[in-house]
Amino acid sequence: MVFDRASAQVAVPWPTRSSSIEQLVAESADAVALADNDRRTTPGRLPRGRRLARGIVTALLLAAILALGSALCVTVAGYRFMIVRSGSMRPTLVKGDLFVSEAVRPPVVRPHDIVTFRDPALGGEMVTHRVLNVTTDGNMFAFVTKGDANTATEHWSIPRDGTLGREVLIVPRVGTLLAWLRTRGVLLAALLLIASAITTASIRRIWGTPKGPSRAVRAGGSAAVAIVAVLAMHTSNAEAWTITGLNSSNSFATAPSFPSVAGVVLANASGGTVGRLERGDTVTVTFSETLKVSTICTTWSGDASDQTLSGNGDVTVAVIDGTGATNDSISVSSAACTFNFGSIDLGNNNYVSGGDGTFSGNGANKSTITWTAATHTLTITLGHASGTFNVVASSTPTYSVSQGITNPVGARIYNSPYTLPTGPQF
Amino acid sequence: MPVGVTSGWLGRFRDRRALLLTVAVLILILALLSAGTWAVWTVTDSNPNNTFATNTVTINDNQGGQGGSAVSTGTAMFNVTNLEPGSAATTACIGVNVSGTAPIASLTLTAALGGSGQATLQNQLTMNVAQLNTSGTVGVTPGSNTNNGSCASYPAGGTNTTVGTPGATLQTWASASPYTIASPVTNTWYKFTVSGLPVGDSNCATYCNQTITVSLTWTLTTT
Repeated sequence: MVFDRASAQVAVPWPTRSSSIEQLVAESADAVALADNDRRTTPGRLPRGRRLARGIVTALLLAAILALGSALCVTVAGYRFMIVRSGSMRPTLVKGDLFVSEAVRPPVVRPHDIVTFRDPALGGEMVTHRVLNVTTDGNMFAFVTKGDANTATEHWSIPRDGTLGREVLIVPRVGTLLAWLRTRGVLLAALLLIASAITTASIRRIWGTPKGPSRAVRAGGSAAVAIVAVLAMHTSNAEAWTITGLNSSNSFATAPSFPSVAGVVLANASGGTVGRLERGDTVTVTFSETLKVSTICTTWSGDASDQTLSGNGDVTVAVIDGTGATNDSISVSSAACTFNFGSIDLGNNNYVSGGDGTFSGNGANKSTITWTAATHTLTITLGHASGTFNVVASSTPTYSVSQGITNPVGARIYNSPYTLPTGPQF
Repeated sequence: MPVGVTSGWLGRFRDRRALLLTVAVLILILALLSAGTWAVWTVTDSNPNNTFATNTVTINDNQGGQGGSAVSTGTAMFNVTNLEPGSAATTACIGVNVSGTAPIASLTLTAALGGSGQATLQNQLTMNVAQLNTSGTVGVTPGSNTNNGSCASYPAGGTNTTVGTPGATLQTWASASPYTIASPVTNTWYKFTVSGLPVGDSNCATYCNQTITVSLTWTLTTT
C-alpha cells in the first residue's frame, strides 16, 4: 500500500485555514480520494475518483450546513425546516419540497396563511395546511385549517401564548435530496467512507510521522458531521390525505309552546254535600293553551271549536276504591270515543268504600263532558251515582294527565302530575 | 523504506509495535463499524413510501353519507321536534364503512353544533350515551339512506366503547371532539342517545321554539 505522504503533510488544520466552504469542500473531497492516488491524471483535471468523492462530500457538507443551520435557526430565531411528505397541499406544496417556517404566536396568523401545527386528530403529529378561519374564545384561538387538495378540514385550538409555524419559504424538491441522504444505503456508504478515512489516517500515523490532521482525517470528520447533521434534520412534516363522511343537520327543536295544566277544580254541585262525590259535582281542568282536541277524544275535531260528549251512556266516571295506602282515584271513559284523560288521585281512600263506584246514566242521570276552546277548559259533570260515597273533610289530590294529550304541534303536557290545593273537594 | 522507520533492534521493535497498533486499529475500526452499521440500520424512516396517487379510500355510512371520490352528506339520524320540559330521550344509530387500498392512519369523529337555538339548548340537552361497536359489519349502499337512524342492526355482541363523557351537555360533548376511533375502523357502529328538555326548562319565553343542530363528521386519515 502506498500513501500520499506529501498530500498529508500539506494539509491544513480544519477549519481554521479553510478560507471558504468551496475550499473546504474541495480539500475534503481531495482527501477522501486519497485511496485512488491516481497520479496519471492530466494536470488541471481531477481524476474521476476524486471528482466523485468531491461530489459526495459536497452534497454531505451542503446538507450538513443546511441541517445545522436549521437547528441553529430553530434554537435562535424560531425557524424550522421541514420536508413535505405528501400532497395534501398540492399544488402549493408537493412531496419533497422543503418548507421553511417561522415560529409565531396565534394572534398574528391570518386566513390563507400556511401554518404548521400539531394535529390532535393525528396524535399530535405535525401537519402543514392552510388557515381557513381563526376565532378567539377567551385565551384560546380556534383554527380551521385544510389542505389545498383536501376536502376535509381540521379544527384545533391553541392558547394565546402557544406557538405554531408560519410559512417563510418553500424550496421545491430540496427535501427529496435530504430524504435520500437519510436512506439506509447512503448512510451506510457514508459510514464506510468514514471508517476507511479513519483507518487510512491511523495507519499512516502509525507508520509515518504525524504532522497534524491529515486530509483523510478531515474528510472523515466532515462526513461524520454531515451524517449527524442530516440525521438531525427535521422531517416530521406529515401532510396526510383526509376524507370525511358527514351526517349533518341532526336537529333537536323545542315546541313552539309548552302546554300545561293551569288549574284543576273539583267542585260541589249546587246544594250538594261538601266533601262527597255526588251527581252534579264537576271536575274542571284548565289547560294553558289550545289543545289538539282529537288527542282528548278521538272523534272530536276542530281545535278552535267547543266539543261535547253528552249522549245517553256516553260518559262514565269511575271512582276506584283504593285500600290501604292506595288512595281512591277517578278515571273517565266514553262509549263514543277513546277518551284520554288520565287519572286523579283523590289523596284519600275513603271517598268510596265497599268497591268501585261509578257515575253514568241516561237523560238527567247521564254524565257529560264539554270542551271550551276559548278557555282551554275541560268540564266533566257527574251523573247518577252507583256505589257508596263518603264525606272526606280535606285531601290533596293530584292529576296525572294522559300523555296522549298534546297541543296542535304535538307537544305533551309537561307539568304532570299536577297537585291540587289541599282542602275540601267536591 | 518508509520515512521515519529506523534500522536495527529499535527499528524492528518499532516495526513490531506499529504492526500491532495497525492490527489493533483495524480490529477497533471493524468493531466500531459493525456497531455503527447496526446503529445505522436502526434509524429508519417511519413514513418512507407514500403512494397516494394510486391508492383509493372511501368512507360511506348507511345514512347515505359519502366521502372520497364521491361526497354527500346523507340523511340526518335525528329530526326531533316539539321537545318540551320532561320529554323523553331519543336514540339513533349509524354504521360507517371504510374501504380502499390506502393504509389508514386514523379515524376520528367530530361534532359541531349549530342552529338558531344553539346558545339556548347546547347546555340543556345532553348526550346521554354515545357509544361505538366495531364487532359487526356495516352494509352500505353508497349515497343511499338504508338505515333511517335505526338501531336494529347495532351489534348485540362485541365491546361497546363510550365516546366522550356520558351525560355531558351537547356543548361539552362536541367541544371535546374529535374522538379517535380505535382500530379496527373498517366497520364501526355508533349509537347516540340525546336527552329531552329538562323539566325545569318550562319558561316558554326562553326555551320554546328553539332549534339546535348537531353535525357529525368522520375524518379518515391515511398515512
